[in-house]
Amino acid sequence: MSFTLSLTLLLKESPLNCWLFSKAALSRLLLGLVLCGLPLTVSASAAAPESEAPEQEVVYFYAWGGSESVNAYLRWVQQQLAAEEGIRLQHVKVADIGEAVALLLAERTPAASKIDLLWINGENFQVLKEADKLLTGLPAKVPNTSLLRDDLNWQTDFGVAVDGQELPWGIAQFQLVVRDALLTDIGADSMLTTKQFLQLAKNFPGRLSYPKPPSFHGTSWLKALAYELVDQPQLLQRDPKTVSIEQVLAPLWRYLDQLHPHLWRQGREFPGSAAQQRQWLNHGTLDNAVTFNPNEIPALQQQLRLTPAARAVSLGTTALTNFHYLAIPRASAQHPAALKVINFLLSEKAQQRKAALDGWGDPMVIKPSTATTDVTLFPSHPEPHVQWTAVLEQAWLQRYQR
Amino acid sequence: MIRQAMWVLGLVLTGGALLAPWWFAGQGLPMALPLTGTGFWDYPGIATVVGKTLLVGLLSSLLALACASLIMARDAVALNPARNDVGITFAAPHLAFAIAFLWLFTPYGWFDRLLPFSLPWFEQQSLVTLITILVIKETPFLVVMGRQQLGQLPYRQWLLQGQALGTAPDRSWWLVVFPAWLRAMRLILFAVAIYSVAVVDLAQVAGPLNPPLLAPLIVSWQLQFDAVSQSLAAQGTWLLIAFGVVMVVAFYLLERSLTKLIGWRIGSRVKPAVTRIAAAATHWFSFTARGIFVVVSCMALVALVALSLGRGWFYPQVLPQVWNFEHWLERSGDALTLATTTLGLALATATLATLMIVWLREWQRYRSYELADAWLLLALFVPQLSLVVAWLASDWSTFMSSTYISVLVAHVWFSFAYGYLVYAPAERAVTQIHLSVGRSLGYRYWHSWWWFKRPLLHSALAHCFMVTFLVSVAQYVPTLLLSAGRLPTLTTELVAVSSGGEWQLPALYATLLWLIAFSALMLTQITRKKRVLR
Repeated sequence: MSFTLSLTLLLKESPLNCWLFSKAALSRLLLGLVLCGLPLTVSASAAAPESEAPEQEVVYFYAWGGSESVNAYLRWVQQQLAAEEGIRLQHVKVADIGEAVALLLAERTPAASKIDLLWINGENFQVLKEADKLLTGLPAKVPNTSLLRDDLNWQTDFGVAVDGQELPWGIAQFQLVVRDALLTDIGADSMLTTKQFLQLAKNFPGRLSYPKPPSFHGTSWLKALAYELVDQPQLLQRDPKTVSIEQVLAPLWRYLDQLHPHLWRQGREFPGSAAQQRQWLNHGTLDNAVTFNPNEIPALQQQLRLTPAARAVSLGTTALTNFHYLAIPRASAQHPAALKVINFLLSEKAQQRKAALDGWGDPMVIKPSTATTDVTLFPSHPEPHVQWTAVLEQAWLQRYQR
Repeated sequence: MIRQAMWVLGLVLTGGALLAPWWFAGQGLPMALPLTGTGFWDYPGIATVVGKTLLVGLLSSLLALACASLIMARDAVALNPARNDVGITFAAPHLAFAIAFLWLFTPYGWFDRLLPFSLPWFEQQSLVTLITILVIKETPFLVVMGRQQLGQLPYRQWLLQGQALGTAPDRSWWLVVFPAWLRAMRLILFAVAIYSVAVVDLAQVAGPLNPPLLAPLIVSWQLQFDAVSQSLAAQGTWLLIAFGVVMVVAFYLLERSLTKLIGWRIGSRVKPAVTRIAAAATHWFSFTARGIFVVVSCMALVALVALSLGRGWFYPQVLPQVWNFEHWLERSGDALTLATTTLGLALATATLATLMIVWLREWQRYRSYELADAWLLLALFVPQLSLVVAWLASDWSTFMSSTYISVLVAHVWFSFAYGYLVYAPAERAVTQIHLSVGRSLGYRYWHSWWWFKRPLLHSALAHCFMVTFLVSVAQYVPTLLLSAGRLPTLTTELVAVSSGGEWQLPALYATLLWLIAFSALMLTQITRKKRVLR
């Protein structure tokens, strides 16, 4: 503003006018902010742990928040725990559990951890185990461990021994979700061979894809394919340093070289995650998706969250199978309450509810005492040796990320 | 003596709040430069990553600047310039807008289902889509901030003087006002350019993924915990900082070159017909661009509301199977709690940040000493996740024992740079004479500031408050990690629930965020209008 104009304004605005103006506008605004902001601030602060009553047991449970079914299930768990155990379970929703791992790794001992309970598996567990961040001896501290099924090999998580640092919460089995019309076209029912998948890609160019490695589901797709394609699948159980990696994986890369030109965007671009691919299946962009929960598809369709025109099929006769787990940070100040939460989550009541198709639909890891709606799992093969994850991811990036 | 003590106290508090986070970052930020031989440049597709990141940064910022300049040209010469036309686009949360845009305009999207022909321009995960969304989001930001900066310039007198000398107002805008406006917009343009090159959420949702742009690639490296990925993340952070510097230098050179080029045109003769055609083209573009922004934004907002209510909305259906209004009621309690926390934190942040910014400008005036803007805007250069992780690895939590204070300090710190770049150019355009007059009338320094200087900066203060408020509302990483989940806000919940394959709840939270931001903008505009009417 020019000096002349400013001076005019200045002369017009005597201190009295300024006072009136300030009362009428800015002061009112500031007062409003103080009046509104302070209670809001205080109410927000009230949510902080510092102000919790000492006798309250609050457990901060870090878990992926991207599934409304899982979130709804955890809301039910919150109500049950509050009523039965007097525990307030606070679901801290994260977009990627890696964010919680980063927080835990950055936390300095001996300060109490901000995280009381974690939903993890695979590489994240391996990292926390190596950093000695997790409470040990969980089976002895959680009575409901005795209910766990004997036929499940949950003692290794992606090839890493669990060693009592986590307990299984659910079963994950890798499957494809494919639009019915395509399955009818190829004459497939509940299983697709790799050859059939390639044929489908050729019959419906640009309609199929898979999550881009190194996303969790993208790497799992590579592992599942590798089990189907390599000449000696048992070699995948061994440390890759002990075998000829190029020779073992050659059939996999040959297959992908054939497949990619027929995929969405000619295999030059991929969905970023399984969640995104599921959105695109609903959206119509793609005709397939992937899942790690065999019950998820009917559950999601029942809840109108997945197109009814698709169903789950296994890739080959066996399915890549693993578990998702619960773990407690060693530095948490809420060990007793967190153990009670795990115990409840492994109870029959909680597991039955988790497996219900009108809810989450995640298979149970315990032996139910009564008949249940839990679906029969496909014959499974375990995760490859943990070192194959990095090998597959790096080799894929070298070949296909340009 | 007391006055001196107050300045010292202010210096300690403001300086401490601004510098302490750097000290903590220094403790935790790994020094790993992306030099040759470190393996960084062997990462698959790194050349594409670099090329596409710079292309997105430069092209989206340049296009947004061009669009904003043309809209401002129309504004400046109009008798009754529009004020709230781009407000709805400005207020749109980036992620929410991108989700709605993709749902509407990509192949198999809503318009593709409705229209007899397909819209082939906006593919999922493509550079064109990302740049388009960035331009649509950045242009209104530049226009809203540009109008506030223009209001500090005596541009009407300049246009009148030009007209008196026989130059049409449209031509005078480009020859006289535009260079001054561009100079006033320098810091804001730097912020937009740095944002464009460092954007994470939009790039993940709409940009290419094979390979991704640098910023989302760094985030993915940071969330893998092997030594190689962590090293790549550390080196990538420094490369991204370098890209920020490149963008700043590029836009500084652009500003200088444009000013020089325009300077050469002053005095040259142009046929009146050419001026008329150029003016008509500018008016047409301005009208069309604003129309597109408003229409696309309104459609995106309607789409979000519809997505939050609709269930079973699959291709090729134009409408959902069920409209589920109960969902809003069921989640209203949670949403209200989240909105309360979000608003409380944002109001506290905006108040503190604005006070600090005003104090710092006055301290520089009082000491007759200008701090280089680069020092104050450094926070814009460093990727946020890198900084927050560095703080977590430092003594930060020892000093910030309260969760709320910890998050608030981070919000104020991140908001400060944006608020400063809005307020500082406007404050520099106002002389201290008014304040000196007040002091000569016997008022103390801050009384004089309040009575005599503040009224001249009313608009700048309102915009500074709004921008710092909106920056606080949009914070995800610092809120989540520093509060360790104790302080969930609409943004932290939106990002978490958006990571799944469902739209209903994310759309509800996104709609609320949009309404909060739009209300903030409208309040700013109303406050400003009242001031103008006076």
